[in-house]
Amino acid sequence: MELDSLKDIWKNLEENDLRHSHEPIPGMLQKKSQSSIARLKRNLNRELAAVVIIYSLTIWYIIGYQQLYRELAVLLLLIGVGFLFYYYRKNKLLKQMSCVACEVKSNLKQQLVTLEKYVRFYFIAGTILTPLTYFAAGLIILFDTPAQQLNNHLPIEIALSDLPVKNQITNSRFFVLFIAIGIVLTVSIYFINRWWINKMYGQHVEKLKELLNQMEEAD
Amino acid sequence: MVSFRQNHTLLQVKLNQDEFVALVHQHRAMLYKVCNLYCSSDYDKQDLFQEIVIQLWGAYPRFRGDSKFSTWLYRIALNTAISDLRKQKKYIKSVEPELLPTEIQDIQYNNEKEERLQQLYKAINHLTEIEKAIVMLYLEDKSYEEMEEILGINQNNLRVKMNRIKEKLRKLTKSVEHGVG
Repeated sequence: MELDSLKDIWKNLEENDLRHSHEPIPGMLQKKSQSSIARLKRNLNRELAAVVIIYSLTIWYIIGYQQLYRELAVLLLLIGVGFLFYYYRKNKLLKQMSCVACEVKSNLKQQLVTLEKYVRFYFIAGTILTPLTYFAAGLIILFDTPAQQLNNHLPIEIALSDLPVKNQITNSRFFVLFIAIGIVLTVSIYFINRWWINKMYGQHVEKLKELLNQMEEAD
Repeated sequence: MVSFRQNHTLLQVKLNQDEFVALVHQHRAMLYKVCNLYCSSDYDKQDLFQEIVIQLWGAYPRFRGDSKFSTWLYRIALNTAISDLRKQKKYIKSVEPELLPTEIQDIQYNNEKEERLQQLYKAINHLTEIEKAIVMLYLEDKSYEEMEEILGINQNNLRVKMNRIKEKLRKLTKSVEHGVG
């Protein structure tokens, strides 16, 4: 079969041969895009709203209600500000990710490059933030432990939060435990993040690479 | 109370929308072709058609006529069909001929032309996503220059690819004729 001989048939296909049912076009214009990028943007906005609410309530609870651990509230505030940067960066990358009116090849390239940046940023931020919070919060809680406990005899089974670090930093048992938990947490977060990000975006990145390879094959 | 300015803006939006709907309606056959090429089920076709229309509507205010309207339309339609990550599997999964939707497969074709078109559809389903786009533009009688403008692949490369695709289709349609594939 010669492709050229089919041009006429193709061009003169009746609308009935092609059409499928769909709702009227004006109705479609009111709907939200279901593209992956649009969904990622919506999820990011939800994530931001959730973080703002949770952080505001937690900080209010710590400072206003409990009047304890002001440093912890400051730390949460700093992490909150960090998250705002994280949100800004991710949102910016999502906006750059697609150019639907561009040539197909440049759109694919743009998507791939931006998605790789997005994934890298997501991975680094996710991997660093949790251990950082653990160590910072741990140290603040320990530093803030009431002073009278410093002179008390500390039983073997004492809770971590009861150990003032100033005093116990030389206590190798406590110190090793605190660091060990931190290391286990960091390593676990690293692998969990790697697995999760690969599950979420790995296939997409591979698919975009494959499409670009198809376009560049004869170059 | 709605001010004159708000009224004017609403009217402008409505005029733009009417103009846009008319343009999409005028070019709907092309959009149907993209959907038929990249989707097998009716549900997926509806979904893709809607997504293309939404993307077109989103990009419409930025269309300044630097390129032909049809070029702009093809770019958006193909970008949506090819590169959308979420629906990748759904939209562009190659379908075995026996799994083709019933409306294509089961229709009794009475004349030779329609049979050949049917063979073409079956064969095209074996092509890659990019090859499908090239074949479609070729069948639409687009020049290599225009194809380059839409796809971003240089013309020499497109000619090489087109020859390979023709060869591939020839082999595929032979297999289809002999009941293979």
